[in-house]
Amino acid sequence: MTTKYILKVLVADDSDVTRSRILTLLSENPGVGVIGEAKDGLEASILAEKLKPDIVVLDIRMPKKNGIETLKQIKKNDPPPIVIMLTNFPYQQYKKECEKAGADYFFDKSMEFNKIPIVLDELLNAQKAKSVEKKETDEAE
Amino acid sequence: MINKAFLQDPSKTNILVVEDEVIITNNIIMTLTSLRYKVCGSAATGEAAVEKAGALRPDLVLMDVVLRGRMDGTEAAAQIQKKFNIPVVYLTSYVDEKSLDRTSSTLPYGFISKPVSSKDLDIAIRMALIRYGVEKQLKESEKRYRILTGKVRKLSAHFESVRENERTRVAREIHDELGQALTALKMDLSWLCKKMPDRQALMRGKIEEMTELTDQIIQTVKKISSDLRPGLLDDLGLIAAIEWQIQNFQERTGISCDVRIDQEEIDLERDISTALFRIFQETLTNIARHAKATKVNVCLELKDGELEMTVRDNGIGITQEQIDNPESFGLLGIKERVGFFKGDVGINGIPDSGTIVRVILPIDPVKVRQK
Repeated sequence: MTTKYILKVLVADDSDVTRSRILTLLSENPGVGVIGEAKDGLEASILAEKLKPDIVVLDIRMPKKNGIETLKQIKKNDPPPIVIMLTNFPYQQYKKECEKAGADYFFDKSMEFNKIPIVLDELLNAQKAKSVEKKETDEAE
Repeated sequence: MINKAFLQDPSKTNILVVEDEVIITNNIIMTLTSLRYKVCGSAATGEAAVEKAGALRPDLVLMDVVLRGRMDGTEAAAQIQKKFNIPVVYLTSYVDEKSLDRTSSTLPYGFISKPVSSKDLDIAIRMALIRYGVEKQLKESEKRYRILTGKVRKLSAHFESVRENERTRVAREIHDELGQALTALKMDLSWLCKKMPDRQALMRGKIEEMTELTDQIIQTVKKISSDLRPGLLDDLGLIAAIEWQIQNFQERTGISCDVRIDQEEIDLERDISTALFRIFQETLTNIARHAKATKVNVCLELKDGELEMTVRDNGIGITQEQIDNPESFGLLGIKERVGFFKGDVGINGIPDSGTIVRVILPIDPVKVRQK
């Protein structure tokens, strides 16, 4: 029996133009499923708690609640999702703030968006490995 | 215009005579009357003099320096000038150092030595009143000037504020609207490239070229936006913006910068944060343009409710001439901004050694995050 490894992803970005393209990018990987979209920080916080994604792709500059505040909020969830900051403000100072608030990845939206599929692959493989390990331990018992 | 009515008609002038010897008092009153001045009253003690001056409000007081009683002439004169702003001319028996010393602290309008001659009295009174008239005009002029500078300062600050809001708006629009659209374009090109079969080398090449061009435009958009107003300033705070500015400065000019900031971040009101940031930028611009420096030291300290920012360079040193140059609007701008927030700025240059710019602004110490 093969288990389908689906990584559940929530995407938050206030630009419709950008968000739709991030979705396209994510959908290229069959192991990834987008379970929600948010247009602002408030919506992102609410959906993160309700849908319990494995991964959240988060923009920094968003209305209602900025990305860093949203990040802090999301990281309080149980279990906390992996958060990939995707931003048009790739400055050291922002990176520091995000890392302090618990971000797992910090990417420049215009220069490093192609790193997202790579990260997702890594996470998928890690998940698969964990599942196989668990299966073997179960079978051994 | 000085009111010279009293010069034409002495009877329009009311004089209070303060003298403790009755005979002298009467003599003076007779002399004044013969000169056609009006005597509105007389007093023999300092206390009485102050009381009568308050009640009668004469145009001038003739005051004996030495009076019997607890209060002497100089003290009475001081009180009369302070409380009622009436000019006092001293009468003195002897002109000696001690008397002069005691009276000098009260801004005397004149001295007449006893025995008092009619001519001396007339001249002294006229001079005192002319001088008083001139000083009154001067004070009014100073008051108008202070009001005017206050207005100019407020207007200047208002324009500054309007300009910054405009810059913020435009910077955001450029960064967000153009920036997002260009990023989307890049993502589309990347998608196109992935869909292109490997053998289509020419097409792939073209797409790569387009991607590079798009990258260039994105960098330009970011630069224009951050030159107008860095997003860091509003999102993260003054210190983050200063650190960013320093990095930017080092990259552009090759001048190495040493930074010492003992706070992690300070939450300031937007106006004061912007002002300090712009002053900092202006200072760096001046260094880049004029100083011929190779090293810069930046220090930001919070001490006793005051934020002190010091920028020191090792260049040729600013001259007093340059500091005082009325065409130097950059420095004037700094002084104005600092003045508006009730702060202080000091600019000093040592030839061939360097220049120090020190800005001190009072801030609300509650809004500070420690390292």
